[in-house]
Amino acid sequence: MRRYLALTKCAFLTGMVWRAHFIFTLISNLAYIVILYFLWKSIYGVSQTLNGMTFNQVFVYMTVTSSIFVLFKTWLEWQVSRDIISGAITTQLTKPLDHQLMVLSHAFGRTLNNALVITLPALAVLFGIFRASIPVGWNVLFFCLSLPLACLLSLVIDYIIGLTSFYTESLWGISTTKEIIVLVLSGGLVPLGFFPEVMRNILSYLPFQAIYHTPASILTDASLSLADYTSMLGVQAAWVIVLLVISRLFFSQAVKAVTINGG
Amino acid sequence: MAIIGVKNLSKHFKVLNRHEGLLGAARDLFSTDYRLVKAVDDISFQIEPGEIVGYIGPNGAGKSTTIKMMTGILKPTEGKIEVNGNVPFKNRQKNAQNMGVIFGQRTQLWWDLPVIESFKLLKEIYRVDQETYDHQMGMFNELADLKALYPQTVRSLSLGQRMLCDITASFLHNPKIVFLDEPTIGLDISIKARIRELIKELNRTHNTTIILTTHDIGDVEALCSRIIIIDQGHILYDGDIKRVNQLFGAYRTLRVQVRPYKGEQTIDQVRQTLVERYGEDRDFTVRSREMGWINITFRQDEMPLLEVLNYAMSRLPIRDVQIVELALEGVIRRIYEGALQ
Ligand SMILES: Nc1ncnc2c1ncn2[C@@H]1O[C@H](COP(=O)(O)OP(=O)(O)O)[C@@H](O)[C@H]1O
Ligand SMILES: [Mg+2]
Repeated sequence: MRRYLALTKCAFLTGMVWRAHFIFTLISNLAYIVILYFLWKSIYGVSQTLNGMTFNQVFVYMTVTSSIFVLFKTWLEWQVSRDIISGAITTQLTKPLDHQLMVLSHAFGRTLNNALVITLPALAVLFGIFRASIPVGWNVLFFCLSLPLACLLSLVIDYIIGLTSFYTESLWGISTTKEIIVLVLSGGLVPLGFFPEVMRNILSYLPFQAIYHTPASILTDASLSLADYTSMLGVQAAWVIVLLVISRLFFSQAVKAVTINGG
Repeated sequence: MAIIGVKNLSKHFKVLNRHEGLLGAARDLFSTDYRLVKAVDDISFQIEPGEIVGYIGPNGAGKSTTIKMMTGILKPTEGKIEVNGNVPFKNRQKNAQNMGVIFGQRTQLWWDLPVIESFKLLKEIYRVDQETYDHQMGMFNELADLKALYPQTVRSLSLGQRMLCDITASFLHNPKIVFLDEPTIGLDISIKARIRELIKELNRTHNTTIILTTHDIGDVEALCSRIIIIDQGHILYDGDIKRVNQLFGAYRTLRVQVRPYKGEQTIDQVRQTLVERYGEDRDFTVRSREMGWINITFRQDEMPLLEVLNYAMSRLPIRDVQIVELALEGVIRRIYEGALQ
């Protein structure tokens, strides 16, 4: 375990080198929050609630999902893909480390960078400037439990996408498609509460909603019970396990069948 | 007991025959037109603990592919490998614990971080205890004087400095075997010499088995008593370096810069001067590959290098000379021609 934490530390230190990147992401994320505020303000107009959600709920929900989106943005799939295509993966595979854990702990370091430099300021703005309010109770605790699971889920999906580079040389198409699918089907773009009943039912069986919708609604939806919380976490954990296993199988299959570039 | 055993090992790659142009690219999507590349083709050898073995061959000979199979990164198409009692591809992680690997064009160091951070990371990765770590770092410092580089970021190092760090880093956990794939590629002579010295010392202090691939004969001459020559996936020679030593030196090339340089006319002038001294039937060639520089290639046993040099200097308006490094291609050609039979 210490070995992987040491990797996380190096990734974190490397991340701190790219100050400009973080400053720009921070600014664009803050701008996005401002846009969200005015966008949803105008959508609500004079109405108190839409689809059972108040303006405050939607605004907090959207800010939380967008901040989580930036938080989980570690460019992991691009890193994995570049390592595979350039052959840099050879050096990694000469180490006594598990590839999946190595990639995940690396990405985890990046997530810490994001949290420190982007997410925390965004939350400060949310509650400090816009005076948004959330119900405080068990939901905060469960939100804190649900966030790491969501993170793991998002990273494992990225890992699987990155591994496709063993078979195809262009990640662009597949990564953009994933990005859009995840964003829309997870509640990252519009709250899932605004989707038709049938859609919501289908989505609840997919892993995507567990990334953004689960933590955001745990935090903002006061109508959820303790039983709801635990079952939502259960679904997240189940998806994490399933995808971890799938990605391991995928990796061992790919590395066997496919050759490694560069000599 | 051999530490590495390789038996009838082969690696074949299926490579898609690509077509030209847009239409070709579209065709490739559905193409099943594969060509088989036999990167390594039925090779066998054994390596004893503590040996430094030079694994040499021209570009594309199959050296890196062999190393990748021995390190468990690639799965052999056929044949057997045992490294340290493990089957590398099946026990990649276990095997890796006792091994250090350098691929010359890549680095295991963290590009954006100070050098020392990479050493600290490797300490954790290989679970090196503090005492061993301090001891090893002290030794590296004595051998290669690296301390000054520790606070620098890896990206700010020169290629040679980076390679010194990379090589010492691969010895940090005191591995039983170290694979060095082209560790001197792209380096100038003086740093090459330092790196050879370092490798020799590291081998001596811990009796580490070292497999060194290169296409620079100089590396092998300086370090190895045994060499394995590979070409097009086949082993051409495996044995004592002394027997092939004579072949290395057989052909030498002298590069001279003649002023004024008048193209063909100057080349003829050089050729003529040499004919005057050595006669028509001697085995030498005079060519120009680069404006102003003329390459004279000759057999050393017929025309001693220093003699040719002195003679040319005394008779021609030579501004500058270089002695070209020994070319492996010539040696391999001669082995094919039966020079070792
Ligand atoms: N991943 C790969 N796919 C297809 N062909 C490869 C691959 N890797 C190596 N080769 C081919 O195998 C041969 C040997 O390559 P390599 O072992 O890298 O040579 P060396 O290291 O001796 O220069 C070359 O012809 C190379 O083109
Ligand atoms: Mg090579």
